[in-house]
Amino acid sequence: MTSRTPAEPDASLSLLRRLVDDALDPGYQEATDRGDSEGANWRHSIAIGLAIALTATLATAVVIQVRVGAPDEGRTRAELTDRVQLATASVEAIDSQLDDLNRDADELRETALAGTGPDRALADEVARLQAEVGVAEVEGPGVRVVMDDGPPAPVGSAGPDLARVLDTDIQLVVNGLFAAGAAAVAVNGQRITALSPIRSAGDAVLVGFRPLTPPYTISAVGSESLATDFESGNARSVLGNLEATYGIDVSVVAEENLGVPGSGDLQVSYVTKGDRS
Amino acid sequence: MIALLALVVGVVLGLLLQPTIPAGLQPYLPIAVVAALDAVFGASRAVLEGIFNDRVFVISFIGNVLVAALVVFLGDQLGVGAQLSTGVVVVFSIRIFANAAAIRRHLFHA
Repeated sequence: MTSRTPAEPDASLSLLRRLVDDALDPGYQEATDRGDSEGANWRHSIAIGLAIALTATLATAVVIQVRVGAPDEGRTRAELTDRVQLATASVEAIDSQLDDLNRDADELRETALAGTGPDRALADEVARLQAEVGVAEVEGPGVRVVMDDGPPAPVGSAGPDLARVLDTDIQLVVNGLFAAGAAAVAVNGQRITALSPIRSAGDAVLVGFRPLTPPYTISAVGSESLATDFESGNARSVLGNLEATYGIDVSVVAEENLGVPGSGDLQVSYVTKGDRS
Repeated sequence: MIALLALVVGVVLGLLLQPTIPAGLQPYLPIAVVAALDAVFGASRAVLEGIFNDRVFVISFIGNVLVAALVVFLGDQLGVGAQLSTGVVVVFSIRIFANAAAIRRHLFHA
């Protein structure tokens, strides 16, 4: 190596310089200095020849691999789909396990509160609150609103496709139903609770973080007059506007008996474990 | 001459045998090939400078390949595999360029 003078102009490049200066393995020079390099010439040639042949074989293999691997995007996609489906299946399995456990807990509570007097009152209170917060299934007279995308815009037309049901449209109907006195509302079987967002992500509408596909069926259970109250409400007239202006498909049907599923997952957010003495 | 012959033989062998690379080794083989190339260029330069030593060559060839693969493997485990691969490739390609330039000077005196 070069001797290091204090004013070396390229001191900051010492790493690169070392790389270039030591490009030839220093081992060769050392072996020569020791006098080890007096080997037969043909041995050198064979060693290098073998190494080159091996390297070339490996390089060819890699090149082939890379080239064969390139059109595999379809396969990668399929593998990803498989993995997503596997993960979804496992989420569903865990969900159903959660449902089972919740049912068990419900049964246990019912046996615990099966008595009369204060126990009975507590059980009634639990049932009433469960229906209210959206955990328990609710049945009764109600209304079913079905919304679907209108005919798609002709190919080549500029601007966004306006004949589509948006998250705000579903929000409008859900809010309108609650304003008309609905006790329980579900969109495509997803119960709307105080914590259910209705929003969009890309082209999909998400209710309670689950993507839904059209047509959107919004079922609401309430009083006998729910359907007429909704029909005369503000939301219905806006909905009629959407229908007329953008061609969105809307139907409102009053039902005598309608079931709205519970949301199933009651998450405990603020409760802490108390000390029980 | 022998080097050229070996190159052709190697490529033909690779094309004929089409060795399938185990999936576990796939990320490391390209790096190993670059490391091997570096050793081969170094050896060719040593031959031209008259200081070639087959023991040094075999050890540097195998050592280069193994260490390069090991470094990338370690990087993969640490989550910086791509960056380390880049580093290894940069170092080896600088050395290959330097050695190729030396070989060129020896062969063409330019």
